[in-house]
Amino acid sequence: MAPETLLTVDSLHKRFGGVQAVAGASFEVTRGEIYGLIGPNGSGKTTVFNLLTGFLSPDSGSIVFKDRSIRGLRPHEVARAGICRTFQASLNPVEMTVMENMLLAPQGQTGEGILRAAWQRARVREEEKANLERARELLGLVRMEHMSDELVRSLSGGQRKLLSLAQALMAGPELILLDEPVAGVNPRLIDDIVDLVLRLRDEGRATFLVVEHNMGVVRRLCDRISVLDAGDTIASGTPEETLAREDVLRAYLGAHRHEGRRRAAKAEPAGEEN
Amino acid sequence: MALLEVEDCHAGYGEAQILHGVELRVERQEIVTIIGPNGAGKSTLLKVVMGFLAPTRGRVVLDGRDITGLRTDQRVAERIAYVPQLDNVFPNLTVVENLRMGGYALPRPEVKRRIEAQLEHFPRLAERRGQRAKTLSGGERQMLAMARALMTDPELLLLDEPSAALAPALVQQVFDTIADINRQGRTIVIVEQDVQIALESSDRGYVLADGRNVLDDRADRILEDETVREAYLGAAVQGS
Repeated sequence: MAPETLLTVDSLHKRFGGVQAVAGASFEVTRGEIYGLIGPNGSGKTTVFNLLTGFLSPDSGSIVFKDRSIRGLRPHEVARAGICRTFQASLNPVEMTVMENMLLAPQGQTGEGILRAAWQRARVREEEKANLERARELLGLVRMEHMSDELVRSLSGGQRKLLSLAQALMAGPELILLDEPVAGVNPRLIDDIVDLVLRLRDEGRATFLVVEHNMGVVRRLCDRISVLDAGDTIASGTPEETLAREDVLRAYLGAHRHEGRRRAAKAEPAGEEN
Repeated sequence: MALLEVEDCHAGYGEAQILHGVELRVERQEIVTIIGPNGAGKSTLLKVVMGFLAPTRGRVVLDGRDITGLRTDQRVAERIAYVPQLDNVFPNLTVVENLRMGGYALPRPEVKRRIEAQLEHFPRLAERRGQRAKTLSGGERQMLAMARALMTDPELLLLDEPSAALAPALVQQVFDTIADINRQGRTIVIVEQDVQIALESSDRGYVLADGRNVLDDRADRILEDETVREAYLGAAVQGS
């Protein structure tokens, strides 16, 4: 079976006032892979996520998911189209339990309409039972079933990451966007999260697009990556070949920003004392 | 004797341990830049030196004296000053009022004298002396933050990402200002993401990764070192 392109991002642009946050980002994600989006601070990774998920609208460029343009869709429409995301910082309500958080995820339940809730009580009950079972199964998958009744407030950073991943799975998305899945996570739990995402992919549960700074994790997790610098894609390929590139290192060291200056500086003798 | 020595520094925030035995040595009148990827512990190290965060192990030694137990205000009296990365001016106060805040513990005539000295030294700020800080450009704001830190006449100035949120053209300006402050005889420790330009303006550099020292050397040699690639982009997987 030929690999199927799931998401195509082409020449995306987004400007905030005087700042060109995204300037030409382009990449393709194939179904069943784990694709990494990396780059130095401020290179536009999270903005690209926000553009993909409808939290922001691009100035130009295209976003095609399953052969259909999703550019300009609103966040809930993007979710309905089959893309879910997690956030850098957990947005889960902390005074609710883990299970309650899980049950916030499903969309379009019969019981959401007043009339249908009244007339189709059997169906509502059935759906709620199915949701509960699914939530239990997914919590089991992330090894958090024993924490169903804990308040989110009492969870560690890593456990909140696991919860948001399980929650993203509740809606049954085809593509999951993970925004820094191991940031602030205790080193022992980092391996668990990496293994979990690999397992979810291997079981065919979803395709992943991941923003991550931890390069050890990127190398272990991602099949392919793209490097963003100043909002543009400067390199794409396997982690191994891409992270060996000189221009990628230079992007991380901030060299690109001063190329004009460096040329200008050479024209006059440096006045620095040593 | 080194002006500043940090020995075997362990520190973090509750469960999250950030620094695992970091060493730092800064000679008088040097500019030293600390670089490293996100989460390396660079800013945490500055906070330990300034006394915002107590190390769980290790010592901070200034001019041969152990200052690990001193509060931040006592360290200011020992002539250390710190410029945070963001939100480093009072936006609704004028330039002069911001400078006055920098010296509020000093006798009044002294404050006045030092404000005038700073304005003389930063003509751009003098032109805008009555303007509220929020109306300044990013570069001017960074200048004001540094000028305010200089109000206490520090011998050691700690700068947390002076280039943060600045347009590339302004970054050079800020580093020129830093070189200028150094020429007044002050010792400067910089934490930077904009590695290239910071190292060009420094005498020596330290590279941290995962809360540990991975390299220290003359600034012009740092970027030639292969360990820098590893620190930023991770190690290639063995056997591939």
